[in-house]
Amino acid sequence: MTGTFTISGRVTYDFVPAIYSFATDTGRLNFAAASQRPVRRGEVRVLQGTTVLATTNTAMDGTYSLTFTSNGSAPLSVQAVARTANPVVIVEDNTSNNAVWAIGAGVPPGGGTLNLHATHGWTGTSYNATTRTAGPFAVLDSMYGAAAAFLAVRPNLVFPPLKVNWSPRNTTATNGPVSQGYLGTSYFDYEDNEIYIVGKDGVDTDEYDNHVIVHEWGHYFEANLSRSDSLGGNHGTGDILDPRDAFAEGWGNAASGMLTGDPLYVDTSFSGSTQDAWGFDVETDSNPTDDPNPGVFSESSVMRLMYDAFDSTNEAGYDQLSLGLGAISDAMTGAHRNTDALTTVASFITGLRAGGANATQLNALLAHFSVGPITTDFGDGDAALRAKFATVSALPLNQTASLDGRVDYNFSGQNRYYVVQGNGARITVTATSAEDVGLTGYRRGSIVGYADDYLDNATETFSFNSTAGATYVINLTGYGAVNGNYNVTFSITSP
Amino acid sequence: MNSPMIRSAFACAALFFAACTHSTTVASPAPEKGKPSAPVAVTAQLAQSSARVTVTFEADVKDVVVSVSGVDGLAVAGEATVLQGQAFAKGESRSFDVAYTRPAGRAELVVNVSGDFGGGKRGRVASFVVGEGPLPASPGEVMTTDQGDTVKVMPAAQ
Repeated sequence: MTGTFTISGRVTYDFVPAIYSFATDTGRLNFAAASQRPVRRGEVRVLQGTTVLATTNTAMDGTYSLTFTSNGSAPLSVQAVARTANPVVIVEDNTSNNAVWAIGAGVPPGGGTLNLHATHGWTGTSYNATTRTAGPFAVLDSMYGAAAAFLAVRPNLVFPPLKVNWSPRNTTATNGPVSQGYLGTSYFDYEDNEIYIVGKDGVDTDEYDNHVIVHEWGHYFEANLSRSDSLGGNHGTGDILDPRDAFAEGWGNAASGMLTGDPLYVDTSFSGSTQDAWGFDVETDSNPTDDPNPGVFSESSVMRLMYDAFDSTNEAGYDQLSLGLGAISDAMTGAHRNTDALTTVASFITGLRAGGANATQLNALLAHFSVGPITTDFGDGDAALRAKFATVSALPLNQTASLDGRVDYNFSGQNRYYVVQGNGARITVTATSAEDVGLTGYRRGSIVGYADDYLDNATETFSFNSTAGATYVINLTGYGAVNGNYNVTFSITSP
Repeated sequence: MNSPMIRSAFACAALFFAACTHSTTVASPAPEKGKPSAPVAVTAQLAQSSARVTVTFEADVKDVVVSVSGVDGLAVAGEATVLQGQAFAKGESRSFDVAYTRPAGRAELVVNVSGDFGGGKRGRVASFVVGEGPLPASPGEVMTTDQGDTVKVMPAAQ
C-alpha cells in the first residue's frame, strides 16, 4: 500500500510471578498467575522491508501510535524492540551476534490498530521455543523499572547505556564461550559493564526471577553511579565476609526488595521438567535465623538494615526509619562513592547521616543488627570495622600481620587495610609470606598499584607516586589455605 | 569490584583429559560472581554413557538435595534424586555415578544442588555439555535494517 497511514496499539508481555513458601520449602514459576504487563517506554517502529519509516517509544501503559508514509512495494511490518530510550536499556541475544530482541507483525491494510504481545510459551512441562517471546521484555521491564524508580525521586541521575544479554541458550555450563551461552550463572560483568542472564529451559531460567534481575542491576548501579571496592568471590549466609563484599551483596539483595516492591527474594530453577525454588526475606529474619553472625561483615545484616532504612513498613523498637529511595540514592552516589576509605556499610551510613537521617533512629537500627553507631566512613563507632583500618601514622611501617587461612580470600580474616597519607613522594608497599598473598593500593576506589603473583613463598611489592595530603588505603589480601593463622611480613616505606 | 586480584575460578573452569579412561573431567566451581547461590563446587567426569559427578560443599550444610537431569536429548537413567536429607561439613564431598543416553550431537547434563546453609536454603544449578555439535536451535529471524541495526525478530501474538 502507498500513502500516509497511522497505526497504533499496545505492546505487552506475559509476566510470570516466581513463588516460594518457607513453610513447605517449595516454589516455582506460577504460570497460572501470569499476567499481561505493558512494555514501558519500549521502542516501536514501522519498517518497509529493511527500511525504518517511523520510530517511537511506548507510553507507560504500553500504548503507541505511529504515522508513516509508505511509498514502496516491500512488505510493511511493525517491530517492538527490547530497547528503551531514557534510560537506555538494550536486551540482546549474545548467542546471535548480539542482535537485539524484538517481536514483529505485518501492518494491517490501511493501518489502524495493531497490538503486539510477547508470550511466555510455557506448555505445562517445558517451553515452546517458537512462542517463548516474553523473556527479553520481562528482563527489559525489570531493568527499566529499577532505573525509573530512581529517576522518579532523583531526576538528575544519569544512567549510562546498559546492555543485557539474555538467550534461551544461556546456560549454567562453563566450559565454553559466552557467545555460545556458557554463562555459569546470571551476573553483572564489571569488566564489560554488561549483565548476563541465564534462560535455558530445563536448567535455569531467570527472566521472570525479577529479584535476581534487579540484584544484578544493583551491581550495575554500584559500578556506574556509585562505587564498589568489593573483591567478589563466593559468599553466603553466616559468612564473616570482608566488609566490602558484605556491603556489595547486601546492597544487591536490598535493592531487589526496594525496587520490586516485594521483600521476598525468589530464585527458581529446574530439575528436568520439575521446578524448584529457594528464597529469603529481605526484611525479616527466618526462624531459626539465617544471620547467625550479624554485624558489618554479614551480607544479611547489611541487606536488612538497608531495607529497613528505606521502607515505610516499620517495626516497633528498632525500625523507625522510612527514608525512601531518594535518601538511599543520595548516600550511594554521594558519601559512599566519594569515600577516602573503602566501600563498606560505614561509608553508606555516613551518607545517610549527611542526608539528615535521624541519629537516634539510625543508631537503633544499627544496634539491632549488631552494628555500632557508626559516625565516619572509616567505621568509627563500630569497633570491629574501625579495627580493620590501621592508621599508618609515620613511615616506614614494618610489622607482622596475621591472616586466617581457614577462610576464603574474600572473608574478613584474610584482609587487612592500612591507611596512609600521601607525602608527595614515592611509596613502596611490600609483603612476604610462606602463603600466597596480594597487595592493592586504592585512592578513592581507583587502583594506584598492585602486586599479586599467585605464588607461595614469595615477596609481593609495588610502588606509586603519592600526592601530598591524599589518603590511600593499602589492602593486604591472603589466599593461604591453612588450618589456622599465618604470618605476613609487611612494610610501607618512602624515601 | 575494582580489584585486579579477583581470581576467577569461575572463569577458569578446568578442562582436562584423563587418557586412561577416555573421559573428560569438567569442573564447575562455586561462582566467583553472580547471583546468590549455594556454596558448592560440582565436577563431572564425563564418559560416553555415564558421568562420575562430585559435589563439594564449601560450607556446612544440612537437608541436602542433589538431583540430576538432562536437556537437549540427554536422558538420565535411574533415580533423578541422588542425595536427599543428608548433612555435610565444610569441605566434604560426595560422588555418584550417573548413567545416561544421549543424542549424537551436543546435550547437557544438569546437576541441581540445594540445602540449608547457615539457616537458609540456597540452591545452585551446574550443567555440563556432553558431546559436540551445533548450538541448539534458537527461533527468530535475524535482520539488519538499512540503518545498521541488527535485531532478532520473533512473531508477536496479538
